[in-house]
Amino acid sequence: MDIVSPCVTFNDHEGSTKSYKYVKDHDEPLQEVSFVPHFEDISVEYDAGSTIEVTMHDGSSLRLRKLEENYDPTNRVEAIHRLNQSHEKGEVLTGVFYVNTKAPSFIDLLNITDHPLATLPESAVRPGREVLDQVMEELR
Amino acid sequence: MATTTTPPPQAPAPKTNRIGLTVMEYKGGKTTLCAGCGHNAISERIIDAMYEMGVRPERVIKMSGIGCSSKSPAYFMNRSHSFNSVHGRMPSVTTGAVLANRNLLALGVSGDGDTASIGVGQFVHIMRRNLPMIYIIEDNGVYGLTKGQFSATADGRHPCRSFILRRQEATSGHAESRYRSQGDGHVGYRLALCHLQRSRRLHEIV
Repeated sequence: MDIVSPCVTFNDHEGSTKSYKYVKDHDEPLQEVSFVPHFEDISVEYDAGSTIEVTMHDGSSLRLRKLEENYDPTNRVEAIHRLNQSHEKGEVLTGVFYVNTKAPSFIDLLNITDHPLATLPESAVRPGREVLDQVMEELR
Repeated sequence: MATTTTPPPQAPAPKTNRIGLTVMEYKGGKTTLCAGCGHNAISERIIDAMYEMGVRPERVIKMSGIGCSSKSPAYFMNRSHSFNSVHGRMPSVTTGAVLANRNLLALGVSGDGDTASIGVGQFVHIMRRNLPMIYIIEDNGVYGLTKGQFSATADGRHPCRSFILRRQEATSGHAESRYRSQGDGHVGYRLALCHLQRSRRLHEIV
C-alpha cells in the first residue's frame, strides 16, 4: 500500500504535491473499497454490474464498486496506463489499482513446511548419509 | 436515622473484539514524530484494523527499515514481535522471517526513501516473489529523518521548502538574508542544488 503521508515539517507547504491540501484537492478515487474477512458473513448492497468481487487466497473478499467507468483492476496493462495518465494530469489516484489472486505466493512456490523451522527436529533438517547417497545416485 | 447510600454506577466493561482484547492492547509507545505527521494517522489505522479484525498481536511481526516511517512500528502493537533492520533491507529480512515461520503475519512498514531509493532493488524482487505480507509505504516525498531532502517519489513540479523560505527572505528585503534568490528554481537540478546549498554552504559559489 503506497500511502501519501504528508510531512508537516518538510513537505506540507504551498506548492507541494504531497501536502494535505494538494491530496484533498486532487484525489481521484478509482473505487469504493470494502473488505469482507472470511470469518464474517456481511451482506452488502451494490448495484449489479458495477461491482467487482475479488476473492483472496484466504477466503476474504475485496468488493470494489467502480467509480470510474471501464476501469478493470484485474487488467495489468490498464493499471499501468491509468497510473501514467494520472501522473500527467496531476491526479492523486487512490484505490486498488491492480489485483491478481492467481499468482502463487513465495511460500507455496517453495513448498515451505507449516512448522516453524526452529521447531523442526534434527532428523528433519539434517538427513543422514544414505539420503545424500540416494540423491547422488539419482543425479548419475 | 439510618441513611442509605447509593452505590456508584459501575463503569461499563470495555469493548472487546472477537478474541476478547480491548483496543488498548493493540497500542504502542508514545510517538516521537512531529505533531500532525501523516505517519501517526497510519499507525492509528493499523491499530484500528488489527483490533477490528481480531488479529492476535503475538502473531504479528512488525518489520521496518530506516526513516521516520520505520520508527513508527514502535508506536503501535507493543505485544507484537518487531525487527528494525537496515536502510532499504526490510524486504529481505522479512523474506527470511516469513520463510522461517509461515504462521506469522508480516507487516512491513517502509518509506519512500527506504523503498524507492536505496531499497528499490529489494522492493522489485519482493513484489516479484509475491511474499505473503502487508507492505506499507509511508510516502511523503522527502527524507524527513535527515531534514527534508527530496526523495525519489517527489515530483519535479514543486519547490522545496527551503527555497520557499529563502524566497520569502529575499522578497521581504531582509538585510540579514544569506541567500540570493534563484528566480523560479522549480525543478530538478536546481532544487537539488538549493538543498546542497543549505547543507553545504555553497551559496557563495552560485
